[in-house]
Amino acid sequence: MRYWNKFCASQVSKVGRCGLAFALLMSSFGCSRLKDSSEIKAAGNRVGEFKGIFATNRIIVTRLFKAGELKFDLTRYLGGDASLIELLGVYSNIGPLNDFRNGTPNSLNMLLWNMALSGLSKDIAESCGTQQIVIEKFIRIDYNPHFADRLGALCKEPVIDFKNEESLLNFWWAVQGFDAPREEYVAWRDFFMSPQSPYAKASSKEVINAMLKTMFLNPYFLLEH
Amino acid sequence: MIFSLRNSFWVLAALISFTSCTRSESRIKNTDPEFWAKRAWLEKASRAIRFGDGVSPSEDVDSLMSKSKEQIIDLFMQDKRFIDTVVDFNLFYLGLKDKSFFYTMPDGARTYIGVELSPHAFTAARAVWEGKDYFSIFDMNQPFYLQYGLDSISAEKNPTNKPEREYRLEALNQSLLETDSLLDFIKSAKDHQGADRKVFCEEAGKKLNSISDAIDRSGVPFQIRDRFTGFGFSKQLIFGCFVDPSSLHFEAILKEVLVYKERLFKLKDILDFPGVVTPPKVQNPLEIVAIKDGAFGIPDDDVFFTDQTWVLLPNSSTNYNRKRAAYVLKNYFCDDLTPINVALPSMHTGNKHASDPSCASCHYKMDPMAGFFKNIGIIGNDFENTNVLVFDDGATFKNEALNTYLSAWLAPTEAGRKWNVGYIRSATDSSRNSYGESLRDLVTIIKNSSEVKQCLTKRMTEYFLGKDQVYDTEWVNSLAQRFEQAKANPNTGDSSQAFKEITKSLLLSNTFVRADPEKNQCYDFAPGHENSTLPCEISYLIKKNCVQCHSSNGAAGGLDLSSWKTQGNGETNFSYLDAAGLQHSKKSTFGKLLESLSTADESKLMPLGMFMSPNDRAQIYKWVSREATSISGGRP
Repeated sequence: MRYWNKFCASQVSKVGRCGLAFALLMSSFGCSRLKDSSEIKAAGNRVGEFKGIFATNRIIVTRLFKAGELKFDLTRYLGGDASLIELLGVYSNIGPLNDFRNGTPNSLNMLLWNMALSGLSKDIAESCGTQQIVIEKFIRIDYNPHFADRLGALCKEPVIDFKNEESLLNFWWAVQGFDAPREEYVAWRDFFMSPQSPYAKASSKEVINAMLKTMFLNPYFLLEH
Repeated sequence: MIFSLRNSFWVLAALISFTSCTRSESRIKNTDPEFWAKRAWLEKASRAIRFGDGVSPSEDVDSLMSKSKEQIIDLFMQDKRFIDTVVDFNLFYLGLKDKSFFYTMPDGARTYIGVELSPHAFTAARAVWEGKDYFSIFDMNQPFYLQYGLDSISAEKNPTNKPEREYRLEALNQSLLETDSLLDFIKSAKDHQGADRKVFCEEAGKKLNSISDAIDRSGVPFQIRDRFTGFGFSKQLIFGCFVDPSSLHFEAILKEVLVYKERLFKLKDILDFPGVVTPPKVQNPLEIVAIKDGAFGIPDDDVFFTDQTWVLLPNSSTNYNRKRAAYVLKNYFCDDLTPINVALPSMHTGNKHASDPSCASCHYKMDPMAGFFKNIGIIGNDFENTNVLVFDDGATFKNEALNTYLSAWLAPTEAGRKWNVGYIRSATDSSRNSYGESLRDLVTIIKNSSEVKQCLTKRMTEYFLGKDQVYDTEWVNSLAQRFEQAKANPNTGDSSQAFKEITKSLLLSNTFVRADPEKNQCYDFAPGHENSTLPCEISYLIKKNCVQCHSSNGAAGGLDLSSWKTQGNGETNFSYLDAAGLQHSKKSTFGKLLESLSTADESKLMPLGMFMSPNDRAQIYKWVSREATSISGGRP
């Protein structure tokens, strides 16, 4: 950069702000309550805020994909608009220094999380029978053997073995880890293992899609706690 | 019959259950709450120490789970991802945490853009890993972290296909010739003082760009060029031309350009520096090439902030560096400038805004702190010993205006020091304050201050456990003691050990284990903590500053601050009795407390005749304000 021009260059960019003010209750079903939104607001700390797009992306990579994977980017499911990451919980040092922005769930950012994680769930479900996910038809990312094994165990018909929950438990641990207390798992398991479940007779891909979506949108997965 | 069938069913169910359990380890784990709890802690600790990475499926989880939590933390701290975590924390502490402090190339190599924001954060993180001094985070003498190699030379640039080094050298020599040309031009202008300065500036600008273009052709990236030749070489010229051509001082410009030429000449050595010719692929902050201690014969620059940080904290001809002062107070001293009236010495009062007690509540600390930056102008350029000061808003002070500006920090003659510049703890007792003049003095104050060690620990608590969660101050201060002890041994790496030990204490704390903690509840206390009915947020501070006079043994003014309980009138309150022995209402009690904490009348300010640190006062005041607001139904 030229000296003469450097002096004139503006180095501060502006950050978009989300002006929406109302929070949306998290949409997963069958789960025990973390805290309702008003309590989260009253607390005012990072507890109850999103872990953020970078942390969540990292967690997904660690649990699902091969070590050192760099290609996976959750925001691909948001139409490739990189500026949307600003709405999904990020640190920013512009303006008032060191601020975590858009960490509180609201209708807009929940819509975006829902879009991104629904897209991911669908792509994983579609990958049944393979060892890799295919995103946007051309990005192929290998699963780690542990997750591929857990996923493979469910990619069969019928997906639910009503006498044995082991494959379900292992799938939960592989995706959800231990972020959520056991009660969350029990509620999730009972929903899918119930003969009255709307997924009782669904195809394995449909069930896996729903299982993943409910795990990803679980408050314990998305929020600090 | 029914009874028999039912019994058979349960026997069968128990058998199935037993045989299943022996078959499946995961089933046993599934129902073991201790397993779930420790595994959850393991995951959380891994993410906290290893820069957001949880336990990978390829790790031996069973082996990890068989270790104690202390052993697991030690093990995780030997993982190089811990250095990234320390960098990340350091940036958080300095208020400079952004989306990411590096970007990753497709081959996995990283470019740590954060070094351009704060080399301090990286130096201190490396120190933690190498067992050196963590307090180097405060040092001004920082190495230059080399993030960029030489730019490649395209065939279009080099059509005759000269050997690359020769081509680069020629370009640098050309930049030296262009510098000679600029020198001649300035000399000639100096001899013709009546020359049109606008015309001069236009021509000088062209020559500067020619120098810059020649260096660009050499492939030396501008980050290296700026660091080793100094962007400020032509400060007089650039600022003078852009802001006020009449202020151009040709002698000073000539001097600067001559220094620049000498540095540019030495810059040629960089063409043979291995880290520049073949930059290493970096994957963690330890691997970044650090150039220091007068490399290329060029003295180290003092770095309090980098250019990027100065831009985040602009000064202006009206804010008098107060934005920078507020930054330092907030980030290094954890003083968020809670506006509490302050008692002022009579000699300072006048009709100025900053002398009004409510305004002075911030200004008595902020203005002297701003004085450390009094000579620092646009993008952090030091204008000391010049007769001009250019601000980030483009305004320029010189001569009389400059003297008036600087006089804002002149100390009264009876003070025994030239400047009223420093870290102020008391507006009335200067012996409690730490005074200085320059940024170097500020660094010394920061390094020696107990408040800074406590603040650093508080920020670690917020980073690892959660921001805005209530913590017992005595507990946080007890952790900070480890930093206090390390202060005495700056060369032993004790401060790095202290950093690790405090981190470990935080990860072993009850707050860390607690999922979904209540914001207003403390989960950890200092050793020897005595149970108290007071809210934990302020119990230690009230015990430390107030209970000496206001306890059940001697409730001065009828106010007992040692006990917080449901009083006879049904309100949860301190015991505060009127002359007739009747309990005051909570509203009346808290009104009195607010007044006593923030009166500008020194004869009524509590604690009476004793010193209470500004941070303690602010913390108690904020709690009392919140309680008072809640009584009045949300109205302040």
